Amino acid sequence: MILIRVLSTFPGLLIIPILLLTTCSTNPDEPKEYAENDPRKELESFNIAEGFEVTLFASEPLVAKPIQMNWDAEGRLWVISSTAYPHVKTGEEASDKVFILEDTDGDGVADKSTVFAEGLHQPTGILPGDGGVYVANSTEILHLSDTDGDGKADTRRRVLSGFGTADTHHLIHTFRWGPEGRLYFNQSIYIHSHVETPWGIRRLEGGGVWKLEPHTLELDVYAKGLVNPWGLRFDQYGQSFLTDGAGEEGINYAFPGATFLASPGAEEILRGLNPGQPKHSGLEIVSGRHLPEEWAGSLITNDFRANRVNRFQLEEQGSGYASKQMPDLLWTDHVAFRPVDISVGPDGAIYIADWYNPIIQHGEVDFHDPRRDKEHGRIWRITAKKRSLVKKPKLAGASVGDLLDALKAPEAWTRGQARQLLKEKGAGEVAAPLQSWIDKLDKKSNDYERLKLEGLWVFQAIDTYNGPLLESLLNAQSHQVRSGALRALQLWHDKVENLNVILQKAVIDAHPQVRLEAVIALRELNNAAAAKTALDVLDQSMDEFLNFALWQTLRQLEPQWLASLKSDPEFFGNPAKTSYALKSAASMDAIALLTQLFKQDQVPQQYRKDALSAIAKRGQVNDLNDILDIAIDRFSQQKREVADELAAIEDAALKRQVAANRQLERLQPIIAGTDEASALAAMKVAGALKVRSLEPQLKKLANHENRNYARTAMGALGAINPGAAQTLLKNLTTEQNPLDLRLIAVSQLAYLNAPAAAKIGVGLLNKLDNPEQAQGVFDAFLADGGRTKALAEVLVTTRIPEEVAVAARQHLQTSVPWDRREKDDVKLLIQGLEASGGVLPAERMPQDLNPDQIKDLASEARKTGDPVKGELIFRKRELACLTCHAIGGAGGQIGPDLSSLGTSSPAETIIKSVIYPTESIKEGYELQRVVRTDGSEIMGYLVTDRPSEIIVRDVTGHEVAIPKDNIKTREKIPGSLMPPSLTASLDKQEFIDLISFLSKLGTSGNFRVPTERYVRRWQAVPANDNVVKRVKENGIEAISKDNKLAGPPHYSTTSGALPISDLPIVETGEDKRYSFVKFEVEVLTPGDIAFGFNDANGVTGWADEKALSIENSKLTTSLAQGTHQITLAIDRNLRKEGPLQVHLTDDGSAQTRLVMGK
Amino acid sequence: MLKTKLFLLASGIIGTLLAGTCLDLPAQRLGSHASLELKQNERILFLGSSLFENELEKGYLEFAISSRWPDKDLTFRNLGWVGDNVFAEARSTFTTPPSPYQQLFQQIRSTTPNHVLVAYGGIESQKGEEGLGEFVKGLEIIIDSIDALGAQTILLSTIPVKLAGNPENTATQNKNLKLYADAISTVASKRKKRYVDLYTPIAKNTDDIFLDNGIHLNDKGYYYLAQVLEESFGWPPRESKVTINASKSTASGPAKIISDKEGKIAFSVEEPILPFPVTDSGKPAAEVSVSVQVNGLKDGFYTLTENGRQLVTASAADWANGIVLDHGISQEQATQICGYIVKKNELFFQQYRPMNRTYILGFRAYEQGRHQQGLKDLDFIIAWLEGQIKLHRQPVVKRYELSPLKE
Repeated sequence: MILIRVLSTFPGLLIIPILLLTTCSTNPDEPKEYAENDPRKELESFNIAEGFEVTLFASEPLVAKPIQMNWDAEGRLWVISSTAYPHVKTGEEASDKVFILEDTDGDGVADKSTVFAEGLHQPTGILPGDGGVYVANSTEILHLSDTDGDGKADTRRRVLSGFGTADTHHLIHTFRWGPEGRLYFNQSIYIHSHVETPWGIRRLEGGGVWKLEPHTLELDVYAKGLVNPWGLRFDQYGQSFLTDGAGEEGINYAFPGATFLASPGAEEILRGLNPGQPKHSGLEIVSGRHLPEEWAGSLITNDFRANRVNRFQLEEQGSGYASKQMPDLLWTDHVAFRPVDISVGPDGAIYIADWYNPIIQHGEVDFHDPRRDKEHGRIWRITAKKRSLVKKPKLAGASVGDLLDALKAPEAWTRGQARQLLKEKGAGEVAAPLQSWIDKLDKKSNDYERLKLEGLWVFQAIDTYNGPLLESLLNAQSHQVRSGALRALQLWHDKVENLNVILQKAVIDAHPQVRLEAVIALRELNNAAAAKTALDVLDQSMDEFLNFALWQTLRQLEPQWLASLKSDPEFFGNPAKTSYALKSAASMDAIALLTQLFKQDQVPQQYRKDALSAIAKRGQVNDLNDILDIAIDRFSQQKREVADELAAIEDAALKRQVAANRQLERLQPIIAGTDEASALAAMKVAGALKVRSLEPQLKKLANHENRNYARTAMGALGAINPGAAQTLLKNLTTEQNPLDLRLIAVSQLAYLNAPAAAKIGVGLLNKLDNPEQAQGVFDAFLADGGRTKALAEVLVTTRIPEEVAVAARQHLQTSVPWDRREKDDVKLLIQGLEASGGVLPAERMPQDLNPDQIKDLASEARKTGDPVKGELIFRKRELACLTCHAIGGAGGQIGPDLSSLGTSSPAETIIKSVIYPTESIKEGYELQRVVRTDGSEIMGYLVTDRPSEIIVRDVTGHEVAIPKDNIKTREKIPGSLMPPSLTASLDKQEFIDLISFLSKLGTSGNFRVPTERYVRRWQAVPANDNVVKRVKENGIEAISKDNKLAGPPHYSTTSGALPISDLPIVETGEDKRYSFVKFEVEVLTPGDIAFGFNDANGVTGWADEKALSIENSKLTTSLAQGTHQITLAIDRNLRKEGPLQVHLTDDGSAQTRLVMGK
Repeated sequence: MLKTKLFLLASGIIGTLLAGTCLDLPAQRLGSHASLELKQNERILFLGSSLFENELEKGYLEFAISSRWPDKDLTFRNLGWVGDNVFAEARSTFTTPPSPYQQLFQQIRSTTPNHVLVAYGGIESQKGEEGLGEFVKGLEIIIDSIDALGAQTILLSTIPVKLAGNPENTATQNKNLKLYADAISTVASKRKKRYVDLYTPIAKNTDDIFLDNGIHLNDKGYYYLAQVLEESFGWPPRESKVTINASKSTASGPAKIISDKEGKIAFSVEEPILPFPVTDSGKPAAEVSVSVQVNGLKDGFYTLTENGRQLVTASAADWANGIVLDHGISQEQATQICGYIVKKNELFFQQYRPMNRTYILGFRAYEQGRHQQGLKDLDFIIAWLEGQIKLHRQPVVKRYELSPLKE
């Protein structure tokens, strides 16, 4: 439907300096003051890493609004551009363009621009090749070519169509050639594509990476998920990496079948390599002789929100990689610098496509807002100082021999273009010379094997099978080459002889990267034996990537291997492998087998939890009865903890109504036993399964001095026999019982008889020692509208102490989501609390602002706001910002991470988001309303959408799993979990300071999350009697030994510092004063680990329970795999205030991640 | 294109025309149905997958129906969606509700059709025998919903593929496509719906009527399909023959002699309906055009002008055999109408399937929902374009003059 109009382009040659002279004469007195959008102004704002310089390669009118760019073999830069984006006005027609930029005189500045094609409709991807150029044009991929040599497209072929358009910043994009000549491209979360190919329909709903053979039109989904992945690159061994413009995990390591967050229906997902890192657009892997040697292999990508170009360094880790953020390549506070694509060019310099726009919001700001820039755009060029550029290779028109030799170039650019040209020449011309080129390679060269892999890719690109070459590479010395060869083998799986033998060998390879590819390749065999082979990977070390791939292989081959396993229980050779397979399976039959294995005590310890969780989710009544038998047996024989088994039984009963029913009275001894966890779990099972015979026993426990017992017993009794339980609970609320027990009883009674409980509860509110004691009672009533109403009705007629009412009113602010605030029950409750004096401090900051007021406030924030004070306000507990939002990955996970809020949102937008949170919602923060079949409702954000259940993060940050069978309706609704009026208690200046801080977030200085891995999430040990007692008795090391002592979370400031003055002080007598903090570190591969301190004076440290030495402000230790707790004691006589900064250094050999989040 | 070029006539001679595309449409294809008659103000809806979405490129199918009834104000909506099936799978969005199914039915309802041409089964057939039962069920649900609207369902068969990747896959797919075509035919009989067999005529056509991908029809394919559709609806061929007897000054067919003196014959032609337009890939066939036969001319070459514009020059013998008027005012008019159709359909596409749907109609409509007005406003342009189609779909009376070529 979209016609390409070939019209005249710009005059052939435009010399940049002349152009600039004509546009900058606005202010002759101040030569430094350029017009607002002058490229020189932007250039001057740039900060660049030491040893580099940045220059302008091209700007408007040579190019406008660049979205993606790729090079052709002649060294011309093809740029796709859309001025119609984000949305065409009614009645207007888009006429978006393909630009070709050329630097004809080699001075590093584009001097020629050609409009190759126009009349496109919001095109988002471009890739030269096959005699023309591939273009993503909304629903379709076009191939445009110029057959008469006039430099303009005159032929248009639709390659594929059926791609979704529900969001124009998610349309198919990021076109790249894979090493084997396939065209890879991405799409993003709201895009649902349904593509008809000669090989059948191909569908992809949500984000992911497509892989296309453009000639045969074979189209596959290569990887799935991510929110808005605008970065994709292959390294020199064919490994692939992705970046996400809206996810938050930095670099993502992708391989066939890799599935990431936000993929609809995904049961298991992979994590990115840099959790809590900025969001990125574009990706390049540095190679070549021009850039410094130490940059080789670095991943460079654009933090377009924060106007920065980031750099990451990868290190192999198990079957995948660890990624470390390095200092930035380029940064600026120029708000319109929006780097979206990045590429090393033919001369070895780095080129950056700058979309140039102060506004990046897609939905939040009106499509036709006049502030959206529609005309500018720049390509910047970064060179290394004092290093010579690469001589641009002459590839177009080169002979096959020369092209083959170009495959030896150190520059990925040259190799990629040469491969493409060889592919276009075809097998007839290339196959024989290619073989002799390979035969003549220097076998002693360090690159020998890698160059052979290059040769193999060309064979694949020209579709010529070369078995001997493949075989030799499968046996290469280099593990990267072996895994590259295995990836290549997947393309040729139907041609390879002895595929099973090859893969049997590869799956026990010495290197995990090779094993990973083998596990993936085994899917091609499509039989039970392949699953058995895949499980051999368990004989060596596993990691998250291998676990994912193995799970996926097992799922894919499940029908085949399950049939074999049914006829031969020993099919997999050992129970550990059998357990692994069965816990990975989806079918009920598999669960039955797993339960039997569990019964025979054959499930190894490390899989027990997963196995129980699988049985809880998919087991049938028989399976759960068997688990009950196991729990009873084991408990009676060894008195060992059986809480996990019992929890599985409870889970199945509550969530799926699959109820174990075999001699349930056998729970009695467990409840009576000494193991608390087992006893509590057994009581819960008794409740969930309504075991009446246990009622007498539970009744006795309902006033147990261990209140966990008491509360759990009351809950179980309420579930078993609500009538009798009411009487019991009412008795427990009477005066002869201790107050804490009475409060628990009244909370439990609320679930059974809310009006009665409300009456009693309100009476108890007059007897409290402190208002906090009432919180549990309020929570029980607030969780449900009916109960809230019952409480409210009593409160409007009965007075309670004012301080209790005030505390309750404040509690309500943060615990009742916005959508319930306007409901009658909540309004009545507020009325009731206010009648007792429970009023909030007068609203000091007006919460209803018109656009002009917002504008004025934004302007004041810019002029008079103090961001340092603003950060203190942000961190105030009563504002609760960090309860929901993280900075640098540390903090609540309910709302978006705010690390680069200021550089992506204008102050007006930030004010609007604070005052009217429901008006703009980030992708991934769409509110879900789920109504269960029992009528109960939950609101929250979708965390995971699996085939059988969804996981929703609710208002408190808890993740709640809901089986799909239990869902009556589920809808995304407009709105936010962020309560409005959070800032009402601030005065105007405080509000302005807060906004000033928020709009500075991401800019240079103390309001940008540094690239160093600072500890950002802490737990501060409270200064209560228990803690004081422990320290007095056992010394300060006692704190390291008890995990339960840790208190509420503390977070570092944006710049990574923990303000010591915020910490509680434990006074242990004799003038000893300490603060204790804990944090966690996850060790992925064991080894040495080191933390650096800004100042270690007065600090003592432990890793788990092991005391550590701190020397020269550095704490060093050696840790095993797993999550470890580091405890620090800070002597407050020595450190009264000031910042404590602790960062994970790169000195150690261990691969580590700091635990972030809430 | 219409300048004074000498048109050589081998291809213009009636009878030797495009043998490969000659329609082979046995009368029984109409089945028990009478020829399809459309009424004033009726709305025709195209519903299916790529077969209809790809029709948006040229608009031949819509032209065939629209121009056939020049005195009726028919309107058309095309809900073809690449990759769609009777389960509406391709109409999925990030948000439910609405479910894809709800979207489909909402889309059908909102177009208030009188006749719905349903072309599903192509995607579904990829599941082979196994998926047949579900497909039939799904198709019947769609028929039910059309029945509920009081509209007529016209079921179109699947079309075969030319080359689906490799010969093996092609054979498999065609076997399944035929299986599903037969199932659609069975459903049509059972539900007493009009059925159009596209499979057989397309399978028989040996011309180059497929795109490079081997599975979708090209422009020529749609041109042919439009004719298949016309015949299957029981509509007579568009051809009309004018026979002029030079010596006797008589004319037959839709022609009238105006004058006949000094070797110059002037006559007028008033066709009942427009011919098919000229295509990029070749001139229209006799079956879709007017042809003129002139008897009694003296030897020599004669030039025919149309409203004063030179059209064709041919020998007396060629004129006696008959010449197809394949590039005149009527074809231009047809091309113009196709242009309006394409533009109008493009706007409707924007309206019912807008870019940024998520923000305008979907669950983020609270952000950009104001642009729904922009979508509604497209109605004005669509109505204007429909007015243009109405204005131009009636053939005009043309004046022809045949005179000897001046040496």
